[in-house]
Formats: sequence, structure tokens, C-alpha cells
Amino acid sequence: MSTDELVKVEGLRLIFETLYGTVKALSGVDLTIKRREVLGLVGESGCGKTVLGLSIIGLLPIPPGKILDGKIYYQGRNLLELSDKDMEKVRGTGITMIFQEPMTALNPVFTVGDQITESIKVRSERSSERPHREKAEKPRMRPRSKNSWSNEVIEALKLVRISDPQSIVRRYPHELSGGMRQRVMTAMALAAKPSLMIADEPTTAVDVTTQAQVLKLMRELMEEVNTSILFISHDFGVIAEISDRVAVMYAGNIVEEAPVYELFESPLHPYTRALLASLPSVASKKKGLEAIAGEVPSLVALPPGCAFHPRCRRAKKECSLVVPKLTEVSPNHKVACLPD
Amino acid sequence: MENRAILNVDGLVKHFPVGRTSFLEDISSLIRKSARVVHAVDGVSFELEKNETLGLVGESGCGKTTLARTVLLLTRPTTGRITFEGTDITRLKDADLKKIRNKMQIVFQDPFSSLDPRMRTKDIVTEPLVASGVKDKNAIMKMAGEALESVGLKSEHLDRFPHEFSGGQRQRIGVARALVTKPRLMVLDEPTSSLDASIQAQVLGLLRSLQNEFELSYLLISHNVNVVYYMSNRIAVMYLGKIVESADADNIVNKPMHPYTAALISAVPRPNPKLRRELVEIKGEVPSPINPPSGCRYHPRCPRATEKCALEEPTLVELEKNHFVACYHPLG
Repeated sequence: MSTDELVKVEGLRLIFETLYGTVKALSGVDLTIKRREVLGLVGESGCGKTVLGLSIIGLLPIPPGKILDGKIYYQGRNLLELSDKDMEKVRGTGITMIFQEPMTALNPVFTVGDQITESIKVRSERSSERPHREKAEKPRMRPRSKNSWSNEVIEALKLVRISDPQSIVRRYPHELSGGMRQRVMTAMALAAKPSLMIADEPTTAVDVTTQAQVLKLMRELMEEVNTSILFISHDFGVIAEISDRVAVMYAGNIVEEAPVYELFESPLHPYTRALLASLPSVASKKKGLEAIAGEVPSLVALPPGCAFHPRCRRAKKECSLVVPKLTEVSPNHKVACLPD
Repeated sequence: MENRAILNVDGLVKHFPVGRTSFLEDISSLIRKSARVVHAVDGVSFELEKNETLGLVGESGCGKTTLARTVLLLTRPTTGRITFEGTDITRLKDADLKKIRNKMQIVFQDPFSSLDPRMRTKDIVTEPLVASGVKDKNAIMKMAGEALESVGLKSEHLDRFPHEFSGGQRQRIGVARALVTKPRLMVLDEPTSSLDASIQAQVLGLLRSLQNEFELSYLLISHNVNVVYYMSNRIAVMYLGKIVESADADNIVNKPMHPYTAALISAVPRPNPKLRRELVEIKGEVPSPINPPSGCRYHPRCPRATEKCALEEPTLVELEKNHFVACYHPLG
């Protein structure tokens, strides 16, 4: 692992055993997140991007999930081999996560200040060298007198550009707008100055004008806090806006990985190309959209060979036989497609 | 011009009463003779021509869905007139309205909740016909078959239940259900916002080709500026229950004149990292539609606002040909 690499996922294969069969959620994912970058992870629903995010932070319930193979390196250690105790120390301190719907991720019956206090408290317990208590005392949240918020809480809110933190700390999540809630979530995730923040569709539930503000804020915070962001989204527009590098996922696999300018300028994988051509935009109005034929395959019954071949215009015979490997075709540009 | 318009909406207002919060408030509203209401749609006028798509864009809570439902009289307007093919439908009795309903259909946002999970496709698609009183079973099935075919589904799908279809296919069923009565006007309420990118393109393409084939007029409602731009001839931008700007699609996107439109367009993420551009920031948040700001509703957030904006409400004025803007200090 070279020094500028923060997280390295190698050959991760993950399945879910269900009543309907084995869901192959991740089939051999290779992914590198560098220090101080926004890596955009983009794909359609059900392609496995959230599962990948959850498995990096160790929040995926196992079982029903089952990791067949692979490694996730973080600071030289394989996260999959860590004990629960050690993983807990990484989670919420070194790696944090924010979720799509801030209304369901925040607790409706506690004030914003209480919840940020809780996360700070848990974190200081975890990062301290004190022996870990076997049955960790549940962090208690109590109503408190008006002005007893610690500086840390106020600072956390100031960090995400909340202009009147003293009044926001006393509010409940339902009293805040969607954009504000997302800022509170971000404040909780960044208060620990993590080295990686996983943001899973953080702007999908908010309006475009709010989304633009949140995206701008995240880019600024990345510089300030010195953190990397794994930004998961289905929206190529958002990905183009925020990412330094982009990884495209399809049916449980990374099919292309490249710096953002290169990916949008010269996409190499037929899926990436087709997806970009299917987006309504100023240019496409006259000539019409090029839809991708067919549907995303079910992860229970993946087609043999390249998972995209039944929908691919350039597919040839070998595509249904060989699973293409993610290979570097030009510096920093990797693609999983058989050469012509 | 007049006969080309299929739909003419004039001064449409839809207010919803707010549930009472306190006894004192009841008294005070009795005294003021004004109850607390949500100003969902507040004086909206527009025309929709034959074979045209009018895109209605705005952020959540701006009243676009209420407008769509009111245009179809799924809820009755508070005041205002809706003329469809020359008839003022707001004055019709329910029985007469029912005859016209066949000509006006709607496709809903969420194809998962807008299809009854216990009905087979054929029952879903034929229900509008049965409801409108068609008795001939063979004719009904024939029309249902045709409608399904025109949205790209096959007759073998007729006996299946909604859960057996993917999201894109379900939305096709929703379109077929709207199409089966041979409507003239179709309201599309966020028709692709719950679909994936690759499927969205299929459905948008389908809607476009159906429009040409059946000479449909679309009222397309979406928060997605890209989708609205792609589909529409004209675009109207809504903010807090009012249309603030309406013009040809190209002009709205490339030459917005209302400060809100400009901010909205600048916030749309575009799939091209080279186009990352300066964001026109909007101050604050959308105010409550229960108590909208005085004057221009956008003035508390607008960088160009002056005293006048807070006092007087601007009306839509044709500043350039076919470009209507409700602003005292338009851009450009």
C-alpha cells in the first residue's frame, strides 16, 4: 500500500443468502481511496454501491451478509480481520458515514445538541486508550440546562456553516429543513476529523438549490478537515460536480475508474458511455436520448461472463464467457472490458 | 391562437385550510374574517397548446403537484377558471365532468404506489374504460391490448400483477392506463423521478414518441430541470404558488431573467466536470406557504430586491417575445 492510499479494497466478494437464492451483492470489487480526495462511486440502484460503503465501515450485518473473499486495508490493517472491539474504534473516529435521509438517521426525540454531544462522547471513549469496557455504558442523553453545550458541539455546527449554532442546538430534527438536517449529520460525521467520510447519497432527499450548497460545503470541508470522501450517488451530474476521481459500478462490480475529467471526456466502458448518452441534457435535446436496452440484471441471476453483455452493443462471443478484469489501460484509467 | 389552446388556466387559486391550532387563533381568524390557509397555488394562469409540452419546474412545496391535481379537478380550485377544449370545466357538474375526464389523464410519480398490487395488469389498464361506462368486453380488451402495445409491453403481460414488473415496466403500465381512454391532455407528475438513469431515458423516449403518435398535449411537472428541458417546448418556473417566469425552454435555461430562475438553473448539477460553475447562492430557505412574504414572494432571498419588491407584487410581464417574467429587476 503506497503512502497516498488510504483505503484499499481488494477482490471483495460478498453475498446475501435469501429465500430467493444467493444475492451476489459484490463480485470481486477492487477500489482504492486516496488521501484527500473525493472519490465518486456512481451506479444505478441495486448495483451494490451502498453495500460497498457499508462494508468498508463495517456496518453490514453479517449474517445475512457473508464475505466470501477479499480484503479491506485501512492504515495498513485489514479491517475484515479486526475484532469487533477494534473495528468499533475505527468506526466513528477514523471512518464515519452520513446517510441519505437525514430525517431517519437523526433521532426525532432528542435535540440536535444532545445528538452531537452523544457522538462526541462515544468517540472520545473509543479513541482513548482506556481499556474498553465489555458492556459499554449506554450513552445517556438527558435534557440539560440551556447553555451547557460544550464548545465542541458549537464548533462542530460552526464548521458546517450554521450561522446561529446556539439556537440550533436546542432544536429537534423536525424543526429543521432538509438541508439543515444534512448539515447536522455532516457536523456529527466530521467532528471527529475522520480520515474518511462515506457519504451515501447525501443530497438525494433535498432540493437542487440546497443540494448545490451541500456539495459546495463538502468540497470546502474536505480541504479544511483534511479528510477523504467516498461520495456515493446515482446522479452523474452530482458526481461530476464533486469528485476528483470516479468509480462506476454495475451489478456488483467496478467497471471503470478514472479521474473525473477523463471519465466524462473519454469514457471507455460501454456501460459508462451508454449511461452518459442516456442523460437528458442541453446537447441531447435535439438528437434524442439513447436509452440502454433491457433492464439491470437481478443480482440473484447474474448473466455469465461480463454482467453487462446482454445489454451491450459491442458485446461479442467471449463476453458471455470471460469475466473481464479491471485493468489499467492508460495512467490512472482502469476499465473492466475485453479489448477489441 | 385561441383555438390552438387545448387548456387555458386563468387565475387559478387553491388554498388549503390549516387545521386549527388553538382556540385563540380561531377567534382571531373569526375577527379578521380570514382563516389560516396554505397558499398552495396562488393565481396561476397559463395556456397549453395542442401537441405541446409545457414543463412546470420548481422545488418541493412550490405547489406544482397541487396545480396539476387542480387542473384535472381532482381537487376543486378555490377560485379561477380552467377551460379545456373550449369548455369551462370548473362549472361542470360531476356527471358532465365525468364525460370529459377521459380526455384528461394523469401519470403519477411513483409506479410502486400508484398501481393496486392486487389487480392484474389488464384490470389496471381497463379500469378507466369500465369507469367511463364502456360495456363491450371485447372492445375493452382490444383497447387495453393496443394501449399496452403502444407502451412497449406485450399481451402476455396482461395477466401479471404489478410486483412482477420492474420499475420501468410499471411506469409503462401507468402510461398505458392513461393512454387507454385516448386522451388529448396528459398531466405527467414527476413521471421518471423514481426511475434509474438508463430506465428514465427509455420512459422519456416513449413519452416523446407517444406524443407525436397521438398528438398529445403534456403538462409535465418535475423538479428535475434537465428532464423538463429535454421534454418541453415551454417551461414555467414556480415559486411559492406562483409562476415567476415562463418562456421557451431554451430561453429559460440559457437566458433566465428572473433571479430565482437564474439561481435554480445554476444549481442544477451537470454531467460535465468542465461546467462546474459559480453557484448563484440563494439566501435562506423557502418561506412557509401559510404566511408568504409580502410583495414579491422571492424578495427576502433575492440579491436584487429593493423596497418596492417588499411592497408591491410584480405581475408576469412579456419582456421579450413569449418571455414572461414577474420581476421588477429582471436580469439581462
